[in-house]
Amino acid sequence: MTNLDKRPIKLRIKYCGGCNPLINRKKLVDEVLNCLKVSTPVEITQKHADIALVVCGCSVACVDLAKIRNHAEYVILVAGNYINHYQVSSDQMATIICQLINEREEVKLNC
Amino acid sequence: MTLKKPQEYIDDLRAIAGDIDVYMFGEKVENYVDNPIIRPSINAMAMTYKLAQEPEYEDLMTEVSTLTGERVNRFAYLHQSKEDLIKKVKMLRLLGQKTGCCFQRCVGMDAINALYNTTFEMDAKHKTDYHERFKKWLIDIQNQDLTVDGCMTDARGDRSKSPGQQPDPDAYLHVVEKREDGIVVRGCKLHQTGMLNSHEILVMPNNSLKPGEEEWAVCFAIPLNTPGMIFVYGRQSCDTRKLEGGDIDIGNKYFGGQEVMTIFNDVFVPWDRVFMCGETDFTTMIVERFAGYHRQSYGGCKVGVGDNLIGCAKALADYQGVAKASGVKDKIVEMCHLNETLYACGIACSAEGRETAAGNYLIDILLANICKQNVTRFPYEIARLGQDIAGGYFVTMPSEKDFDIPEVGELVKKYSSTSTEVPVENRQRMLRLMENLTLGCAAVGYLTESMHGAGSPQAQRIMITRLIDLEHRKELAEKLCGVKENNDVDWE
Repeated sequence: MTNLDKRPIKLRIKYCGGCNPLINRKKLVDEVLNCLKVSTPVEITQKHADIALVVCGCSVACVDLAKIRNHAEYVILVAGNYINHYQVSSDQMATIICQLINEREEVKLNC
Repeated sequence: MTLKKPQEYIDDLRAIAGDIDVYMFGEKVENYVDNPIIRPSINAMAMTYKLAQEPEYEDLMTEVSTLTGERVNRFAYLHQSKEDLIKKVKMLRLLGQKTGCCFQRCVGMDAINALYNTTFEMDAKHKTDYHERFKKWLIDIQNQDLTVDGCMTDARGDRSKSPGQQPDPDAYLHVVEKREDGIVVRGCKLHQTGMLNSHEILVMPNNSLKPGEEEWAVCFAIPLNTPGMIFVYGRQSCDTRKLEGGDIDIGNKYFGGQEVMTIFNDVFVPWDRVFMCGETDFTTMIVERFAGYHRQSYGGCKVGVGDNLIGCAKALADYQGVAKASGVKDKIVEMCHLNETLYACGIACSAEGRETAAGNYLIDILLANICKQNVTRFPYEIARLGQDIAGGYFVTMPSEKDFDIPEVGELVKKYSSTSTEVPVENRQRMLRLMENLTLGCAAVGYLTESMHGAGSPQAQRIMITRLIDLEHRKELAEKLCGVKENNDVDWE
């Protein structure tokens, strides 16, 4: 096991402005955190993080990702019904995000 | 060589013209490149090569390829940013201004970008190698600066039946044989804009398909002169004026559009040129993305043609002495307002674009559909206002030959004159341009193509219905009027 595996995952959550959302961003984050409670200790931070979860309401994804990338080892981008550019069905989103956080690596989303 | 000169492009077509089966007016056309009906459409395509050579248009017309590292024509380029998507719209407006017609090359660019990201996602799911095949083909297109016809609309037979339910399976292009070295396809693609002016044909399925309809789920590319291909040239309003020998009554002296019935009569396609074969679950993606890109295109090209129409109305107002009338000025303002609204939609869906898994950029699909929905309406109103300002003479004026014959020529000129400062021929030419744009050859592109090209109006309305979250809007209203609790207001 690495040191990373022993300590809580430092997770930064960044929302878009939410002007025209196709998904309920807050509800999705609550589902993800509930899901992680079972498997993975998480520490929410606004500083340098292991993982940044960027939650945008639509596919435009207007958050400035360059700024986020400078302060996180790994970025998960939710943009409407897309996760890391792959379309995902609404009922699968939280599960897939948890999977990505747990695996800490980019996985192919065959959705 | 990555940027072909216009003459080299036309020479390319001449080199293969003898191998192409083209029919028009009940006869086989032996040399379609120099046929006076067809040539204006080749001239319009040649302009996409011409402007790419000019330093003053280089920024819009060309970009450095991420695949080859060479500067390539933007029509063969993969959009890498929102700025690229915006530049595409600006390039199309420029070309609409320069040609006053459909210049035909955007459909290939849109198909290239859609296939690039769809094949990537298809491979991720199905472990196929379509994306690598497609990239190899595209690098060749970029290196040789070839024109591609994006080919989607099938004959479709009975519109109430899906491809698998049609009494004639050829109503939608399909695979009739799979061989070790490739596939054999049969069918017909209608309305193929710029087909004969293209080096390559890039075929996509017409619509979403379901399991059981695998034979119709096919994407591939073939050269224009592939054995088994038959082309029947589409008529346009006033097309035979191009055979009359004059240069006034045709309206647009140099340029025109082209639509061709394209028949695939048991055509062989080698596997390295096949980019989808049976993956029905990706047909929706390819159709939506190609249509999205193409609906964005209309926010550029039709605006450029509209600029010509507005200029034509302004010139006629000047020539005919009504330019200072407040009603005329107001109508021209309205034409500009409508035209710039279309442009704003083209820019908006580009500015709201996003990166795909493959890395190239995709427009905002909802806003692209809004753009095209407006294009189905506004050019008709712009044309109506143009005709209103022009007056009725553009449809009752005698032939250009009547202006020159000894018997009545001087009388026709005398009674066609508006002012001593305006040569009669100038008015003649401008009236014919109004006719060309609003009910002649160019109206095919400016009006009917605006209605049906890239999908008829109802196709956009279906997409708008799917992409707008009405429940979210309903909840906004319910919170505002107190039907639902509003947690946002938590202060006293």
